[in-house]
Amino acid sequence: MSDHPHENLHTLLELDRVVHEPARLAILTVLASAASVEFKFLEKVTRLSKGNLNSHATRLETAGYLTVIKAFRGKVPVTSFQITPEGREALASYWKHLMAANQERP
Amino acid sequence: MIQTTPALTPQYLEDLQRLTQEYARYSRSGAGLGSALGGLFAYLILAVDLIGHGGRITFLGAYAPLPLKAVLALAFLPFLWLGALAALKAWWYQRHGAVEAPPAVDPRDRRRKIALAIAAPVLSTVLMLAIFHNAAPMQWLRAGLCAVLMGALAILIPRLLQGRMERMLGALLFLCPALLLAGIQMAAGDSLLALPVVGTLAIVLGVKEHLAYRRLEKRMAVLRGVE
Repeated sequence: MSDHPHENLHTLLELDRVVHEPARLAILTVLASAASVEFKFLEKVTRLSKGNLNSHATRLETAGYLTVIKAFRGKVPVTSFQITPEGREALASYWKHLMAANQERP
Repeated sequence: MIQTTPALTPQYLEDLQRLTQEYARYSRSGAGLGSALGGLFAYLILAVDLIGHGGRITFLGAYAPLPLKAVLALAFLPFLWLGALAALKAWWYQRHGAVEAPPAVDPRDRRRKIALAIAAPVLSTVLMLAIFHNAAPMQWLRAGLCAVLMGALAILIPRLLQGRMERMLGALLFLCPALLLAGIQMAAGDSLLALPVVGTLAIVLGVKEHLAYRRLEKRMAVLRGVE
């Protein structure tokens, strides 16, 4: 248990805001479970609209947590995502901090 | 239909993770109906072998050449199976978007590749010697096809097939037509058991995997809030 009443709050404030957003947390969870994931699958399982998914993916890409792979299947453009080692680490660290905050709760 | 992001609960995230892992499995080791089709092909090879020899069973290694047309059709089967397998994976089992499973790291894979790279040319040579020794009809064509089948066995199977059942089935589907091309009747040898046993296992496991995929799709629909 925490000695200081604000320690719990400090741990929560240390959470990575990029990962903490629900949609992005869902995206990273999916990406961490596979080598690469196509846009279509992410859109289906996260229930995000194309625009929303795009903006969250761009945010994650800017943070260096995922890489975007653009390719063609025949003449159809296909976008896939891959989690980066930094993204994997950020996700693991996020859960570690959250668990710690939960344990410190009085 | 307007969809909203579901409430983010640990249960939802856990479901998301499990569903992704299970779905990704179908990009590599889960062959589903592809396995079942391979099982049927194994039975087809056995049937052609038995019918082609008029139901007579000789001992393994006995020289009993089948008509070339029948053997050519059988030699085409493993390639047809590989094509069907790839098509099923791409257009059916990954139709909700391609999700690639992380590559399975098995230290035995390298040893398997080396063993196959040694065994395939040796077996190919033995079969070609048998063809020329018995002066089988169209011997150059038979020998060439044997080499192609054995080469494909050594190169394609370790690279394209990931699951244990798929690999076993693939090895059998490439090896048996090569034996038949060499004029060797398989029915009284190991393949008398291997073809129906592996064939039945492949059909049962393939159908089971396919049903698991259908359940996965239902879970996906629930997760998406469609159902």
